[in-house]
Amino acid sequence: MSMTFISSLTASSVSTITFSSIPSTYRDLKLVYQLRFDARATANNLRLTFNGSSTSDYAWLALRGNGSTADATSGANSLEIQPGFTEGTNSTSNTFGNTSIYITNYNDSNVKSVSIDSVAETNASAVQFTYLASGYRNNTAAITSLTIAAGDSFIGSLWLYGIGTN
Amino acid sequence: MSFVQIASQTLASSTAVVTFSSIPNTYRDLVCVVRANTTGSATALLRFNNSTSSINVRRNRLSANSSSVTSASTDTSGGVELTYTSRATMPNTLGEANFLFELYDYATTNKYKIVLVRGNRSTTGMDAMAGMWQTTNAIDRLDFLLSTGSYGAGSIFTIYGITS
Repeated sequence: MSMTFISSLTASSVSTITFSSIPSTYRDLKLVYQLRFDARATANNLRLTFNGSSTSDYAWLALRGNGSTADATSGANSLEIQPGFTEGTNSTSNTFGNTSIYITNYNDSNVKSVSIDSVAETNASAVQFTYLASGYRNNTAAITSLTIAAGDSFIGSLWLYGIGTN
Repeated sequence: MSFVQIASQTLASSTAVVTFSSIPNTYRDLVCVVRANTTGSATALLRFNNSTSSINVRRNRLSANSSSVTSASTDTSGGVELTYTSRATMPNTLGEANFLFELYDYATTNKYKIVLVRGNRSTTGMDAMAGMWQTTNAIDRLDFLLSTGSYGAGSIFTIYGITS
């Protein structure tokens, strides 16, 4: 079995949540989450950082569609990777932003890159995003913790998997 | 569903072609993860069963750079192009980009083969692409090549099998 469940977290009205002490025994990581803002009306981006560090050595680039148009957006020398939108309280009840993040070779001494698939679909015209993105950190430290944060509190669940072996 | 690591290669030195042969036919799908670099500027290719036929691959891509989105299709020969000029290109710095591929029903003999490609390089672009190998042959070998030059030492190529 090469895809192994590591741990899960429940977000209960928090604006930051962290997987810490990630074991170094896998080749890649997969982070999956379903989140929704509980004190913000409109959908908004989340933030992904590694090892508790918000230094300006991240970059991200996304191809996104909102149901009528497609565009590209990006951030260079950024304080974080933006892994997609999640829902606000104005969104249809019980809908969550869904995101899958694949992190290759998190445990070695090279710079880090990630692949992101994210969707915020509410069966309403107000907020719907399909979001394909790449993320990057120009830092060679092994990743031992992953943090998802936002400017407002959110609720939901997160799951972390280890893939392959070193 | 299970997700099984079939094989992985970490290059000890620069290598022009990375080959996975005798891939077992016991899985439903394959997932390939490539974290690689090259010293020059080259297009990466994925070749099936070591076939260099000119009739058998086509690539449709949806790409983004920092400000725009484009889409196009291209016929290629000798393999599916995994990178696209000025988007998610193969980097010189190891780790700056990653490439994920999914091959569905690779062992069947009644379907043309489709590969879905994600290229992620935040400093230049990203690609979501589809390639097709227009033969019903089961896939039992994958070769990762470059249009010129070699993959760098430390590059890692891993293949996973998916069962249902």
